[in-house]
Amino acid sequence: MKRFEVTTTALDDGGHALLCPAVGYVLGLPAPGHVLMGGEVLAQLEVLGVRHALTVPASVRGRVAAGAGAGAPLYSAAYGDELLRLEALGDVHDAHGERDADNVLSTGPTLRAPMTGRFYVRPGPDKAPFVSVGDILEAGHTVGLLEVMKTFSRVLYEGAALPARARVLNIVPADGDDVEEGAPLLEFEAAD
Amino acid sequence: MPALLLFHRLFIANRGEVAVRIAQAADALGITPVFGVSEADRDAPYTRGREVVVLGKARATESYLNRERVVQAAVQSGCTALHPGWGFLAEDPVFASLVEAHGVTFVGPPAHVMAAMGKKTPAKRAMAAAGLGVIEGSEGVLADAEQAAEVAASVGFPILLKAESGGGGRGMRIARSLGDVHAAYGEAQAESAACFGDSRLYLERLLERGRHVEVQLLADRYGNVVHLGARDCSVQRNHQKLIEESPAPTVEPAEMARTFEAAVRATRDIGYVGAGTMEFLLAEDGRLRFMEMNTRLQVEHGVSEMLMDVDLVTAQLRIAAGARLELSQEQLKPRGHVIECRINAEDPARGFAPTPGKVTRFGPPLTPEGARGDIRVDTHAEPGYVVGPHYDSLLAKLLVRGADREDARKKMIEALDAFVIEGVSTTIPFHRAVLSSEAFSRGEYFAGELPGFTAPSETVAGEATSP
Repeated sequence: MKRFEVTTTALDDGGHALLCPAVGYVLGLPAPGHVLMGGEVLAQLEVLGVRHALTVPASVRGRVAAGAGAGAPLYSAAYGDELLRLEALGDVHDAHGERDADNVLSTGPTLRAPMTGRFYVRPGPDKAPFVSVGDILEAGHTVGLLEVMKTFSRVLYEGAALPARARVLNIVPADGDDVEEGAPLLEFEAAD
Repeated sequence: MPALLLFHRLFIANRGEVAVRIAQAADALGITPVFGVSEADRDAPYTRGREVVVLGKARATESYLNRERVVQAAVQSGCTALHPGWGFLAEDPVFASLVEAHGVTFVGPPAHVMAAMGKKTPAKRAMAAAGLGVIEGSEGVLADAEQAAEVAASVGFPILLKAESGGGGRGMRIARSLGDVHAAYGEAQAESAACFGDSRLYLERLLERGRHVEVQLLADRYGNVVHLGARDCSVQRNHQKLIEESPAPTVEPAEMARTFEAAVRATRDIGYVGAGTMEFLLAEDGRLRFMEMNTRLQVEHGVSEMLMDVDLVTAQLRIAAGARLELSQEQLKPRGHVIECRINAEDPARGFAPTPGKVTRFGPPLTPEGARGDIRVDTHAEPGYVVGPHYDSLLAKLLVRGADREDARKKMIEALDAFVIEGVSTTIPFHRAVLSSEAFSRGEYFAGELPGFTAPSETVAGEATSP
């Protein structure tokens, strides 16, 4: 049995929508009024006949509201389907389970993604990264690979607004992260 | 004869253009299609008004490549058959068995046949036994680099070391002399282990100046097999086909007839079911040698459909439902010559770099009055369609039939001129250059060459910005 943690979206009224993290039959969703705490098993998810536990993220809790799958004995759900809505409990103000803010320092010169795609910091899973924090780069240095529509291209340290030589201060995405066009990839300070 | 009991609900485990093509066939048979989609394709134009099940995130490993999710989605949407399309899980025998194990009919060959054809040396052995030409090389997989050197010396250089479980051009290395063999063996072995989890290699003589020719086959569950002619797919870049045509213009009729007969026999011998394609290399000696079998619908299937006036996808569905082949070989008569150009969202002027973005105008050429059926456009795009960064770059396929090759070539140039796509760069200018060239017109080029097109160098640099 695996554990699947539901994904959540914060609602304007301080509550949360709990979304199905996979495709399957959800069994035994709690009825309206039931209080769910962070980390609790809220229902079972049956995938190809095998039942797995569906859990609430540690940072989320609330009271089950009417609607969606609340109280349903069997709920057929696709990825991202709303399973339940949780109303905020009176004493809890800020329990959002969103991810940390961007890992961006954003004061110095920045190299940005030329296209939306997947960014790799190393040439292969068992290879050393192209650059590390503290490295000094010059024009033409490869800083990573960008996978766009199954095609890999090198991302080079290059551009009129970048200093001729720069020290890497920060590498923003992790290896294999999806990046949007214009998203910061690397941040620098000028080096002499 | 009892009426054929067809499926009522068909799960489409794919996206884009092939999903549209499968849905079209389902509609024609009165079957309800259900689209399994990733989050990125949830609002794709082709899913409008259709039943969809969202599988997961845009990343294919969490949606289109996730076997359990796809099968569960098919089961819980009440589908009794599943069409895998091409790419993704289409040639994964474990997936095919999983589908069937959960009571859903897999539209394709039996899993054990798919598995056998996915391993290169059993496939090659089965084909040689049925009388097809094969490329000279090692008897099965190689024990080590020493044996590779011995075999290489006996078949003659240059040789190609290939992954037993390979595909897509990975895990292959060329050795041009005895001195290269050890290094090439080591590299190919490492790449094969990393890509396919199987480091075993085999060896073939490298035939460099050849043409890519493939035979379209169709088999039912009862041992009836027909071929639908041969396609030439020699205009390729990095093993990606760009232009396909049929009949294959440069194969001698006797060699073609001999190969058709052996290919049909081999298909029956291995117990194949459904649509499949055998790929051959036409070497300078004029002989066709088997390379591999693709156990699925091909991207370029429409070329054979137009040439022979058949619908391969409805045939696949009927065969999966247990129907007998309705066509005999004698009834299949090629009509004229068909050319297909793949219109990809790529910029040929920048090394075929992918060009994601919004398609602002999209106007395929219209079929001229009185020539119905001579132009076909297969596409999932429309004005406003956004080419996302997650999947491949195929936007549309343009197919044209002419009375002969020259007529088809001219009509294709006209059709390309009439095809309006704005917002993203496409391969249309590339196709125009190739089709207008002397070399293409005379048919004088080899696989991997791009006749009439000179490629500039390719790099993509990061854009710098100052805060």
